[in-house]
Amino acid sequence: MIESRTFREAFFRNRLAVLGLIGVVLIALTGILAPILREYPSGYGSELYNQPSAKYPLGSDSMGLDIFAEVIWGSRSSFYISLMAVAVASLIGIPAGLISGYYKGWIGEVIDGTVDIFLTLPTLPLMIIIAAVMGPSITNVAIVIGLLAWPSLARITRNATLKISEMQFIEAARSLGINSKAILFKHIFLNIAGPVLVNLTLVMATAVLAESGLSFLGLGDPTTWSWGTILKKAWDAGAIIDTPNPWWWWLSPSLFITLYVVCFNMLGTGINDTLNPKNRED
Amino acid sequence: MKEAYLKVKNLTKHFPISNSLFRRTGFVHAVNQVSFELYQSETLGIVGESGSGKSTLGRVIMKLIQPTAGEVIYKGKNIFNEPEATIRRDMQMVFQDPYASLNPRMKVGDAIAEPLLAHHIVTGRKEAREKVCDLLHTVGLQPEMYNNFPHEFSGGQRQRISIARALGMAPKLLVCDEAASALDVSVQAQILNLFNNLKNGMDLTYLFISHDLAVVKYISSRILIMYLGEVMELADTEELFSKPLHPYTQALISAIPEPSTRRRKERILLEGDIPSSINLPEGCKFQSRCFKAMPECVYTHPPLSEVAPQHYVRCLLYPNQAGG
Repeated sequence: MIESRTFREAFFRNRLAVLGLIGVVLIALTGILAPILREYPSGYGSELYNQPSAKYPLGSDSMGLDIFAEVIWGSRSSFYISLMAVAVASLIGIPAGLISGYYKGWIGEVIDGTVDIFLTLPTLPLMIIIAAVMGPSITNVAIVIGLLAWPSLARITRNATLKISEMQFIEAARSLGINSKAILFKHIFLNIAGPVLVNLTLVMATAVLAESGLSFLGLGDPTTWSWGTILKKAWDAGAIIDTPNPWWWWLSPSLFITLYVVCFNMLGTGINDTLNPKNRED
Repeated sequence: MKEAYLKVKNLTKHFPISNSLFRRTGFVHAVNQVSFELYQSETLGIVGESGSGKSTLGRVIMKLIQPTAGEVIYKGKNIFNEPEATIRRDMQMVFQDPYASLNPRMKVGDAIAEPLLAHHIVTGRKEAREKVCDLLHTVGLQPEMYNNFPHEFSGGQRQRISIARALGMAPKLLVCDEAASALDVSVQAQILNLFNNLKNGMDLTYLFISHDLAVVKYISSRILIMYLGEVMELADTEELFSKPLHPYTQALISAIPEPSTRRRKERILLEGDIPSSINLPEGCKFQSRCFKAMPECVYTHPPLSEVAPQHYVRCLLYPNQAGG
């Protein structure tokens, strides 16, 4: 990017953005380093329902498995799902939005109509059906989430493009003989990068929420640990209503889901603030 | 006789208006049958009030908008049948709003370098940087400003950046669409002087579009007066100011404020606004506001006639003397 240096400086001056970034990087690192940090939790352990202790930092579950290990491996699949979903959504959504916003003729109408149709589809039932048909695998779940997230991304890209493409510097670029591809993917994209990036971070966050939901409903991959799977197992074992309550079992995955969503939101807001050069004068 | 550099023939642009998907309710007649010739190294001023179609005319000549009808002949060819690249390097445009014509997310140096690289005028980043510094110097800015963003500049400086960007293509024709109008008067004078210096230094031909007759008088060698998309009068600047023939031109000239303490003898006051360009008047386009209107003006559309050498007027008061 042309303005990378100044962008970096301004970004690191924004406390909220840095906090979000640290959270995101920590979760990503945990996911990537999961095999080094803890062994993959499987089989049965000897100590059931252990309170958080030195041996089990987040306690153990009804099968005697270490919840800390489950959460770590869960962040690995959560991060993987988010990335896949974002890749699918942006590969379809961003070009669709740019093209429909810039070429306003019939091609724009067709794309916009398609987006409208996709936006009216009820997401959760559709996700459940597709996940059920495609079979339980976390890659399938990620693709389904991405396929249902692209319309909102396309809509946001299109709205921002519509506004920018009417500006005089786009006409100036045309009169300077810059080709449409460069105008679309450089001039316009630079100016809509803020809202688009913010939306991408939101897709990352909602992807994890959606995955947890699907896993909780039993449509996730039962052989892979994810935060949703942990919650489902806790629910199936009655951990949420039991007395005495093994609160550590359901609380830690919930906290991690929340943390993940909040961190990505802070990162998105931070990027949005930083990308506006007017905000970085002092 | 001077050589015609660019010939505009019966150029017409109508914008369709539709208030639903399938129904077309009418047209905005932005430019109607405009013809003129642009000579090498001259500055042709195009004057008209808001809605007279002067900016549309500039954009059509720049091939930014496709015309409804008519031709622009450049180097013996109609530019609308030629590929884009043929005219892009020879013709450039400076826009009205210096705050909107630069990409706010691009460093000004990169903005100037971009077309240079796109057209292979320079090869490589280093050569581009040198060329950009040259261009910044040409328009009176410091080369150190390369890394600044547009919002760090004043309006006049931004307009200089836009001019530098256009000059990078080494154009022969520069279309200035209200290029000085958004600036305050002292900065306006600086920019106009810059235009004049560049013209002498680089042998440029200008098409200078403005609503301000005083500005146009200062910079132009010939002036074209537009009203409702039509040419009303076309003459050399001195001729036009000493012998304005069309009533509209007379009214415009009498409206130029004069820096004098004496009371002016007379001032022609036009009533009303420019009529809608959707439903055009049938006869003379100006008759609804003309202070010399005659009964036949309502239904007779006057032709553009050459009443003196190189002086064209579209008015029934002046029968065609040169052509017969």
